[in-house]
Amino acid sequence: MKSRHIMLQTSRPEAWADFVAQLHAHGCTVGMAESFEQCKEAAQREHPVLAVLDPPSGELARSWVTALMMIDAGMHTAVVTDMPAEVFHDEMEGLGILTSLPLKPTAQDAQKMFELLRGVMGNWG
Amino acid sequence: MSKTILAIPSELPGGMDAGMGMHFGHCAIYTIVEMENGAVSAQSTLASIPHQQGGCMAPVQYLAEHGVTALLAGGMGMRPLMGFNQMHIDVFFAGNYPTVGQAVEAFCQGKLNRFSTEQTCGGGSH
Repeated sequence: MKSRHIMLQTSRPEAWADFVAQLHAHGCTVGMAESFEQCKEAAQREHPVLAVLDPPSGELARSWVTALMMIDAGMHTAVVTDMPAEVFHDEMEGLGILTSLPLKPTAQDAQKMFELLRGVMGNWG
Repeated sequence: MSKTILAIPSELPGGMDAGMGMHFGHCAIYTIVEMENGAVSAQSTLASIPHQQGGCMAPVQYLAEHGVTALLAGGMGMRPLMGFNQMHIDVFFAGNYPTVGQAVEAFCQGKLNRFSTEQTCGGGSH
């Protein structure tokens, strides 16, 4: 069975409780990383199926996703942003980001993300 | 004896006379060209596969599973390019050749450069 390990990088873990609980409900394990450096180290060590990034600014999002891609292009990514969806899509062109997430991610956002992940993972379950 | 299996994103119906499919992720079909010792030994076509937003590694995995060792492309996003690199599949830029046959000929003559990250293009679904 393919991994259900997800890496969550955020400096505000309290905002993610419902989101993480929803992923747990789907049998996912969720590793937490406060900084992006910790996230990269975990990505190399743990090979998560997806990394969820909560960058402090939109400018960092592209470079962070690119850095993870250099480690493992097969690792999916989701990114927190306050950009409108169309702007985000244009800004992140070519990076193959699974989805954007709002600043206050809910259980419903986790559910949507999980469904998207399942859609690109073939017989993942 | 060295063997290379080339995949070339193509317009329908594929084959040497077909136009290049200028974007890897959205081509109609792949032309597959087998080369041994620098000469074409066989050719065929391979259906492309659909993929959704964020699933741009699906066609990379698909071509790897079909034994492809090199790709001639006119355009692709950064993620699939990194994916090919990490799977040790060589990617060459052939976007300035109108047909598959001309791109393959240029490859045989060593005229194609490796596809660089600067040449990658947009599209979150790529």
